[in-house]
Amino acid sequence: MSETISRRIYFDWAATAIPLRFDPAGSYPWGNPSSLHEEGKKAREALEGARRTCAHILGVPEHTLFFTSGGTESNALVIHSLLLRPGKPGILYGATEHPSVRENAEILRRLEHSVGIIPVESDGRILSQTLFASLEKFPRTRLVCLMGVNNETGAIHDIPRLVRELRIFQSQRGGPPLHIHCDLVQTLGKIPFSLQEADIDSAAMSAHKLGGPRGIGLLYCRKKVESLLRGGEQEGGLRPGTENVWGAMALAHCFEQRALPSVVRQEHLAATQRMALLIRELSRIPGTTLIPADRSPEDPRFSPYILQVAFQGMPGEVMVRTLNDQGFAVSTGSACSAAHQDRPILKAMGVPEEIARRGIRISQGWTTTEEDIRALVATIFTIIQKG
Amino acid sequence: MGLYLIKPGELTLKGNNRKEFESILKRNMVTMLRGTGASLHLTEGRYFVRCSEEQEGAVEGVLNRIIGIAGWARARFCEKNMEALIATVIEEARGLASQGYRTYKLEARRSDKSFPLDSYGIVCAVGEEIRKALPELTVQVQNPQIVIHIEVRERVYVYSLTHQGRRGLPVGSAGRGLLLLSGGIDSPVAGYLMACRGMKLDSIYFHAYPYTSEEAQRKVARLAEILGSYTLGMRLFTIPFTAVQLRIKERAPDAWTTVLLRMAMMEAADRLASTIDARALVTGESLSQVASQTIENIRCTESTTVLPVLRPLIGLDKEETIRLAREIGTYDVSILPYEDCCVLFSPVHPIIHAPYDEARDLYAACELQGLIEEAVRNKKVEKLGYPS
Repeated sequence: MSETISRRIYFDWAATAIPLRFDPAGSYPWGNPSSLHEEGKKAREALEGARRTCAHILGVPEHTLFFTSGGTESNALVIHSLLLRPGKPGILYGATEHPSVRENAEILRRLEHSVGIIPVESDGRILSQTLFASLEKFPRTRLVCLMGVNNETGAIHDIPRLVRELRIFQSQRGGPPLHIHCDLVQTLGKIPFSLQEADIDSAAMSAHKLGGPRGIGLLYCRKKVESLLRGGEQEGGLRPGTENVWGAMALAHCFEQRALPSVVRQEHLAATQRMALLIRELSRIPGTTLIPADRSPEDPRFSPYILQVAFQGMPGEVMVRTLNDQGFAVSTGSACSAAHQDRPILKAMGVPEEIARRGIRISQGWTTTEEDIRALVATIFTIIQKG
Repeated sequence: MGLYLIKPGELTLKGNNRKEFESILKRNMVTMLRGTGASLHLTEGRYFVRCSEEQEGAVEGVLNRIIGIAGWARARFCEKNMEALIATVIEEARGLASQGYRTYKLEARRSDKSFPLDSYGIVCAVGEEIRKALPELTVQVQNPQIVIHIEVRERVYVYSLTHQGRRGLPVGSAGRGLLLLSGGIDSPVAGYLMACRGMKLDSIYFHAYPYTSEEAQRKVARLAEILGSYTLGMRLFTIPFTAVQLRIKERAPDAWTTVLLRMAMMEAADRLASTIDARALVTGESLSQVASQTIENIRCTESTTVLPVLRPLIGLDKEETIRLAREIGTYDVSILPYEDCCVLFSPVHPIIHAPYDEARDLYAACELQGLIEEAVRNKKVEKLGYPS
């Protein structure tokens, strides 16, 4: 059974980041931002101030940013908007998308919209040619969902290039304009990325992956979409409901701390070095399989924050529990059962089921040190040896 | 006030033992009703439960779980005169008509012989009034949908047995059994069926942390709690079995791990049973349902036990087991996705018809006795589902 370990080392940053301290100066503007009185005005100012900060850091106009409850809601808002458009417009999404894209897209399938899945290569990435072929196969497509960084493998999509090529392809074949939506939950603050350059129409972001609180996120949306949610006129009617002012302030705070391009570049460099160390050290343990197997220590195709790896003779779930008892937090999405195939992302990449079942995800963040990495690898080595 | 009438089940058939069964059933009812403030009376082979209006839901919950009763009904009662009697029966009949009943029969019993009409007279008079008041109901003597009972005692009681009881024999009338409880659908049903034959149950679960999860263990505890609500509580013994599993994996060919593990579990259960005065092991095995449940493999797994192994599901269809699991409320827990056996110990091609002698030899070669003894010694016990 689990023992109490005095020192915990956290390697599950892709699930949630260690929270940043947030103590806003002065009293919290608790009023309702829609109220006309002084309390309401203060809350409105705080909310719009938070939006301004985020817009400045992301380099986009303020009116394109909407506060939501997080990544899942931001993805769902855009996908569900197709339900209100005439002619049952179709959706195309990558085979390794997060469930908040996949499952919401599948609702559309139930309602007889055209839903296409874009196959990925063995590294989890989508080729332009495959994207074009999918578009031709599903001509009713109006919304394309592409994720920036995969949450299980760290595979990076070169969004600006893919989007540029996609738009050229679509215009050459005389197809209708496409809405391109990106899940940037594992991208923002981690990978150098410019919303301005990306030429995407909407994007989902979440605060808690960057050290902010749960329950607050952002939807970037430069095109008008109609929300299925109805209520007040908050957030331009896109996300009705009294605004989470404190959350928005905390989100702006963590953007300031973690999402400034200079900070992202610097942290990315350090994370790349630590990831290279992790991969090199793990590769010395016999029977270790990186997923995908050809991932190199400083592989630019992958986020240096996320690694998927399988170990000899040990189901992922068992490794997670054993590491937990030794003081390390890592994660897996796999069940310790032959009856359950629940690694759809790895399956889409063609990873054999037997390896997928052994996969664990190690994800790091800004407090991770080389010493942490060496301690983790040494512990894994001991566990494998005991077998 | 809520008044309920309970008709005991098959214990009425048990000749000389009847008094003992009756007293166990009564004791069970008193125990299960504890905390509801309800009172219980036995008169002429019928039990009456009285409770306050607020406790009606709790009492009905208990009546739905008591093993050993044929049925129960909410009873109406009134003063001992024909006018009140007729009004009460019509009220009862109206309720039945609104529930969709269309054919009925009246049965009257007159314990108080001073009442002016005899049973036949009561039935005739009341039947006539029902015919006038509720023409949608027709009398059918041979095969009525519902029987309305009228009993004239110190008061008049009117009831119709609208709720089926769980039947069987009262829990505690047939000794103690130790149920091998996994997180699956079958074993809780097996336990329930043996409880319906009067068996008091404890359960044993083999935990192989970190190869099986704490969620799987909690799931088993939840199942034991649900079963315990029928059996007046249940002890769940959790046996740490990782060392045994690893030894089998280390020493035996892959294909054999399932059957050898089952043999080890049976041996551990048998050892535990002897220390808790259990007279039998109970399993959810159903012939040929999975690899470890072929007749050849059952012979192997039973070879490590001294006590009889009861397998109430052995000839049951899976659909029937699922129906029962739904009925007793364990199904939704059983299908939660927490496995009780790690894939590491589940060979892709398990041996299906294990040769007995080979199984015994391989089992001996694993030298498990010491590990099993230690595992049983390190058991953890929880008491679950006991009445408050």
